[in-house]
Amino acid sequence: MANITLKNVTKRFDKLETIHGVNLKLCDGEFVVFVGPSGCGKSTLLRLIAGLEEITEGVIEIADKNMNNVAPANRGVAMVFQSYALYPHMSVRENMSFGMEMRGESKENIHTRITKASHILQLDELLDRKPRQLSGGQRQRVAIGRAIVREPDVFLFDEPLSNLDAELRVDMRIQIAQLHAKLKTTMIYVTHDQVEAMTLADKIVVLRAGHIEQVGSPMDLYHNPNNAFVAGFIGSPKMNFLPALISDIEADNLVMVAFNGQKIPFKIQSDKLSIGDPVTLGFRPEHIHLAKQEDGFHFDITVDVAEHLGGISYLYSQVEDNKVIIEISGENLLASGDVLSVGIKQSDCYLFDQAGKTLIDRALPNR
Amino acid sequence: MILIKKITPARCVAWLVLITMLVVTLFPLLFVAKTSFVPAGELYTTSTQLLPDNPTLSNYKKIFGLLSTEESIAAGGSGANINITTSMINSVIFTGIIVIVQTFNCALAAYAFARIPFYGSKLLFGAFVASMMIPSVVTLIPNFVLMRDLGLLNSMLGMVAPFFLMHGFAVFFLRQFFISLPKDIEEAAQLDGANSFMIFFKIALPLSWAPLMTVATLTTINMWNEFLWPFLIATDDSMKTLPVALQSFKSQTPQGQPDWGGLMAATVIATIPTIIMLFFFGRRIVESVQFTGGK
Ligand SMILES: Nc1ncnc2c1ncn2[C@@H]1O[C@H](COP(=O)(O)OP(=O)(O)OP(=O)(O)O)[C@@H](O)[C@H]1O
Ligand SMILES: [Mg+2]
Repeated sequence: MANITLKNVTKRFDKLETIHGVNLKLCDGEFVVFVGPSGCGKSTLLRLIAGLEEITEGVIEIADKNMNNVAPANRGVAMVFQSYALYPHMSVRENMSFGMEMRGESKENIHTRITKASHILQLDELLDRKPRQLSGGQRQRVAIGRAIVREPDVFLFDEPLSNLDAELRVDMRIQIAQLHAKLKTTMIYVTHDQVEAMTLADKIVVLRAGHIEQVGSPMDLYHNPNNAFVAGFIGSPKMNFLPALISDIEADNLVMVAFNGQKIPFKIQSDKLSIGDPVTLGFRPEHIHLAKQEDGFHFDITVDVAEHLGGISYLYSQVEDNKVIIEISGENLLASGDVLSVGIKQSDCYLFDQAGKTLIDRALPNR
Repeated sequence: MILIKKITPARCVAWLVLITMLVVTLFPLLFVAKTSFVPAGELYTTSTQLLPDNPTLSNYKKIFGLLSTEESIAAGGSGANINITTSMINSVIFTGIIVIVQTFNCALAAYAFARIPFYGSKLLFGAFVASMMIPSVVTLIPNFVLMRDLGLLNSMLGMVAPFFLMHGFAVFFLRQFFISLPKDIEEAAQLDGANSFMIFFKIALPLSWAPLMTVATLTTINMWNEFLWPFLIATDDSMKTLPVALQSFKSQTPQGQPDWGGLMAATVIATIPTIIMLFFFGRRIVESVQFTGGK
């Protein structure tokens, strides 16, 4: 059992605090993804769990044991680095056996595990090569192989795919997903690619500037972001944000939101709102229709740039200084300069208050 | 593929300067080599020639003790017993001990300075760097007195003592390299269960082959040619290194006239290892000198 608990974990480099009292519970066997913009502390958090950095305050527990003073090698974790960090002077086989030799595993044991791992990762042919004789994707697999043979309780990945080209990245992403399905070991995966986060994660942890913004399943975060930051971070292309107003507050928490001269009721549980408050209306590019919707907002836009990817097209436009991206089916060959009227359903709308906090609880889609 | 570079006036000038410098540096060496093949009697008659009239190996035979005393005197020698073989062995041991122990020690120290934070490490490293600025003549007398008081005169330990423990430049040079090693690799090893010593021996050292060879090559050449210290400390014939033996060779001749032929032959022999080193590691040495901005 390798559940992981972080209690008030704080990290300061000299005087500079980069992780501010993080609390987090990760269950055994979960695939957890840390996402967030560059510099938000994803790697630092991962390195704190690995023990490569010392924590300034707080407690890290792995399998219910306090790890604060346990050496990295004894925490039962294996890490895959962004740079792969293979030992350049050792063959693939030696790279994989190094850790086991350090631990004094028997020769047969080492051999069995390497055979097994290299079979899973299709490394059989490459065992006697040096890292420099391997392609990027092969190196990545060796790095993962080196982690697998350790048979750790927890795998830590720090942006493992960011040095690969797009196609290979998709390939490896699927391999990692299969690996998790096979091994059922706890995995923590750092990325700033939200597609990787959405596709791999059981649980996503969204970080910003050393704080956790939200923890939840990918669908949770997509449909029910806590705030505008998470809403903007999860989903691709990014969610559109436009200013709106509270025009009326009625009984039963029914709040009228005014946008572009239209008023639509939303159910909002909040006593802090008053008439005339500005709010932010959010809607995803994939939820915009090229026609007025029955209950919902509509507005006119002029296409600035149209990108046709074949299956789908993206239209870039501007509404009063706010960028708006629209995703439409590829059959509509609209071009820049076209003027169209677009509509959004009320149920596809997100609402945030001035501080960016979400105002509505949206239902998750049923299976 | 051979790349033929454009011939420009600037390039011609550069070549001309380089060739001139080459001639100026190589000419004395050539003269040394020539003289070593000249029979004693012809030393002065052929002194303006580039090649000897009657080349002979007798000078070489002489210094390796292959001629009898009479033959040696006849060949213009002093008849004194020059033992270049012994001093050659001494030189090899002297240089060998220093190169191996010093390079290893310096690598250990440099790695600690690069990777292991400890109290006072900056200050200590500063001291190492500062030591590069102290000319060795300054420490000559104190070192000599120390060795004498320790009773290490005329011993190999006394000869290597000031050199074999540490060398400021080597520590500085290797530390710079260790810092540039990717930290990830060492962290991966740390997660693999290796302690600092293991990481040093199994990861850092094997990856530092090139800079270690550079340091070792530079040390080899410096120590092979080191004169002053062994000259002071090893006065016994059986302990003399090559440069010291060459010196005493010069002042040994009773008639007051040095045995030039023998001396030149011995010099040629003494230079050969350096030339071999330069041949194999020349590029490394140039790189290291570039690295330090000239030495
Ligand atoms: N060794 C260090 N010394 C000082 N500051 C550090 C150190 N390591 C990281 N930081 C700081 O901590 C913050 C978080 O860094 P971290 O590397 O964890 O970000 P990240 O989320 O992994 O970013 P990226 O996506 O770019 O990898 C940054 O502001 C960084 O400057
Ligand atoms: Mg990072």
